[in-house]
Amino acid sequence: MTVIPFESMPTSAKNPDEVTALLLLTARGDEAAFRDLYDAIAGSVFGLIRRVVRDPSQSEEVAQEVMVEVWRLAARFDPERGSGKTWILTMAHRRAVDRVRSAQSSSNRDTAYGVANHEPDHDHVSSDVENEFEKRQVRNAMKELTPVQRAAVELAFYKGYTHTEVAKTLEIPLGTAKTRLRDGLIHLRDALGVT
Amino acid sequence: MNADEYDNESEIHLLAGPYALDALDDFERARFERHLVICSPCQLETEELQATVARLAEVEATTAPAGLRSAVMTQIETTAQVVPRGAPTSVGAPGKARQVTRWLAAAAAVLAIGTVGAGTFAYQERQSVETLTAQSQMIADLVASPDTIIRKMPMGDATSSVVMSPSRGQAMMIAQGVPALPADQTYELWTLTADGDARPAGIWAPGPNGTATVPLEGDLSKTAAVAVTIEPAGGSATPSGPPIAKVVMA
Repeated sequence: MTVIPFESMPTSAKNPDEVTALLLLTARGDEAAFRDLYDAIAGSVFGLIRRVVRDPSQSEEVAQEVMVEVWRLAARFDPERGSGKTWILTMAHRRAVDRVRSAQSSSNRDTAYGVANHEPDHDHVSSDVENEFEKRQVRNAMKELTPVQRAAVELAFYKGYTHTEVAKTLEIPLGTAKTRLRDGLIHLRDALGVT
Repeated sequence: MNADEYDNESEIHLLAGPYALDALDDFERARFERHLVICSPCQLETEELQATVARLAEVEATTAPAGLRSAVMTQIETTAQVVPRGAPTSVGAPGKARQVTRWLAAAAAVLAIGTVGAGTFAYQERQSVETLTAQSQMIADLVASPDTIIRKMPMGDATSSVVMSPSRGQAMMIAQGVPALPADQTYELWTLTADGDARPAGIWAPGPNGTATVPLEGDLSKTAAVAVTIEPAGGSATPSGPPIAKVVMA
């Protein structure tokens, strides 16, 4: 663990968190900071990718690609436009979805997806208390969505469906699928207090 | 231009959600990313929605496989980092001035929906920061609302757009290139019901370089269209002549 003097820690007024600071140090080529960054974020990166990709060894491959990309592209990160965590997890989700889309033809994907009897799909168990709190918040926020909003967001987020596939699966017009993805996320944003 | 073109144009502003969820195909992703470069409201919304998606992602955290760390560390030894684009990223405390700049950018992007507004900032700088920030905040709030409609409203040689959120009961007209009127005349905004009843929505005058950002007044429910007329100074209770601009909002 590197000890970074408080004054020399790069900060962003907008995103003053640890991951953001470590990412800014990584952008300067600081390998020790990158190791700390890895320790702070790898669990989230891997967990997210495994949730979407499912296969553990493929998930590990994708997680490795993502973490190396974080190192490589760190200088492109702009703390005014979001937190370090968001930047990294956005990249991780994109890569996971790309892997799912290239690996699976849509016929392999679950085709039967009932909206009416759908329950939020949270099968991952964690003992971490803080994470449990976060999870409950997210689960509660998800429950407030309309069934179609929730199904649309979950198909896109967890399964990497395109809006076209979301529309087809939920038997709604494409325009409606786009709108539900947007207003569903806006609702989650407000419910989770994201600013 | 016909109604379809307006629809296609405003439709792209809806893509921040699918984009943040990686639910666009490659073609649309590229199209939206091109749009993001020029549309600050969409940038703002995308940032917020990506942060929301990150919150969903975070709860999936688990222990990473033991071998992953050393594999990553070995690989970065031989991986060159990209250099920052353009000027070095500011890592200092940006403070409030930066926040205001950000809202200005959001407002400017909405202004740019009509045409690229070259003289916009010169005029805006003359307005008080408070008014400006309040207006920009309102535009940002409007654009962030799920039911927001953005319509172009051609006005002679001038360009204008109307941004309206029925759920918020708020709307704003943003115009550029509007000629000044003689002292005894004023521009007046109207909201029209589906039956064609016109309700006054405020009198206004363009700024020195022909720009205007005007919140619509009054009850916006049942608003099917927005129009502008030229009225005697002080405004009228009913339009005294045909509209110089009109756009269907429904």
